[in-house]
Amino acid sequence: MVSPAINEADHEARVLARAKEFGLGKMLEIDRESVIAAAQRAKVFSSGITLDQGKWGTPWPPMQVAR
Amino acid sequence: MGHAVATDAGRSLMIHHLSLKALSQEIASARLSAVAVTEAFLARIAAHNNALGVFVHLDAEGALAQARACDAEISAGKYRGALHGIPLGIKDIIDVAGMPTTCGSRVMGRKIARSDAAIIKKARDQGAVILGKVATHEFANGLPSLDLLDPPARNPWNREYHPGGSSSGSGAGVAAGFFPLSIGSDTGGSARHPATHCGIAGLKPTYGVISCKGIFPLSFSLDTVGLLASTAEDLAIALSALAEVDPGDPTNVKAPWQTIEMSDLPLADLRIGFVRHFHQKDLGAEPADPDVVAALERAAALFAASGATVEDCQLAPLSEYFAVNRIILSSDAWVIHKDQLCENPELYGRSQREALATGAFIDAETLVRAQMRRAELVAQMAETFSRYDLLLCASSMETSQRFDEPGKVAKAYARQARAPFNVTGNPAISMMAGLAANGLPLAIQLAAAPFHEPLLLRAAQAYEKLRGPMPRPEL
Repeated sequence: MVSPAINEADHEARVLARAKEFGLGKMLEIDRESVIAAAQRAKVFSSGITLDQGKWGTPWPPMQVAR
Repeated sequence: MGHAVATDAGRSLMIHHLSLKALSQEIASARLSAVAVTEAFLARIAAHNNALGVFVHLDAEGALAQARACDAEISAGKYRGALHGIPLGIKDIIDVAGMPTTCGSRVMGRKIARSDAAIIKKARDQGAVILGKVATHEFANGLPSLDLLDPPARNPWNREYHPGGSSSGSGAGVAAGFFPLSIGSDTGGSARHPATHCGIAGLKPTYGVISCKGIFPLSFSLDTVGLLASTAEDLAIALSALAEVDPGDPTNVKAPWQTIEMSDLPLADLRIGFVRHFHQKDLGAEPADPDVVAALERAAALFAASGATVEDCQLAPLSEYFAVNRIILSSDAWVIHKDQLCENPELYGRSQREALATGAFIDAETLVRAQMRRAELVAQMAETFSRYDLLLCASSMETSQRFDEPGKVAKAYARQARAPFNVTGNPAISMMAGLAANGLPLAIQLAAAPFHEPLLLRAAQAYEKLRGPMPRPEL
């Protein structure tokens, strides 16, 4: 079993790699904490989305095709 | 010390206490000159701006020159309308020719705008006097910060507390009597938030009815001009004067009304949905401030006692509106700021760096899901307004927080029910509802169907009458 500490370090490494990929290398140098906090915010926001699957009408025609 | 004016009732009022409507009537009838009005507000600003940090750029000479031109026009029989000679404070993300647009950021420096934003041009056409630029959170986003180009605006009710934002200077300035009307913006609640914490009225019109051309964008499909004033009637006057069709803004739409008539609204015919779950169920383990809840219940009881039908109304959970708002906003803001943030991150304040970098970590799938959920939320809101004329709900779940408790500030900023109406595009207004036990303003929020601003503002005016007069901050 992988320890939570290793998982966390892994996650942080992925966040930092992605930040560099997106050009945030300079920001990482001066304010690493804000980059990590931004990734956390994005995760929280992203987990807030659910779909009612058309309960309130057909929101997105291509989705109807997909269903 | 102040500039007093005698009213028809024989009372003496300070000019800075007069509503926009009253000032407009005084100027139109030449009982007050635009110069006298402008001088009165400038004196108020001179006395208190250092303590409140409302203005980041004040053009006193320019304002007096505009006021003199207004008076000359009135002498010549030319009256431009209800904003003729009315001093305005402009949020510093909106271009005013000849003034810097800093967006509250070192990124922009103090570069001078070469032309007016469409809404400023419209305001000038209506005879408004532009006093200057007022404080904003950096790029109209994030939290109040102490590490920016200028110090943050402070709450006139207690300077240790923030005034709400991002249209922070707009809310503090109206409440402090620096100007009777401010033009701000509202992407996730940025005009209604300072209105809530400063004890005034703040309107987010239907998405698109006021041109955003010449306003620094935050999120293309959420950005709306916001108006802040003391009363619903003042907001109706401002909206009537400033809404227009502008081919320069592709999001701009023509409203089905031109002038909003503020006749009394028969409340007996009104169906109000009370969205109690926003403040009762949707906040998890930490309930809303009991004073906020009591203010909402009082408003519901006042409407019901006047004959309106008030029923509990179920929408999606608040957290979903907030998530959709933040995902779309963060993605748009990232695209707008990416190059600058990657190249010069040190020019941004710390809170803004975090807010803007958030967009980098939102993937395309999440953004598409947020847009899909938005379509569902819009449809649900439309269905709700087939059953109700208005919605009543909270604006903020707490009163304002102290600057020196940034953790509490950040938490309280997210505990709000304004973002739902940015997500769906509906018009909404935050209005003062009294004072909490801590002496800070409380507010309620009303919302209406798209383009139903006339109904919304008349209902807000009815609430003001039921609620009774409100105190003002002592400076």
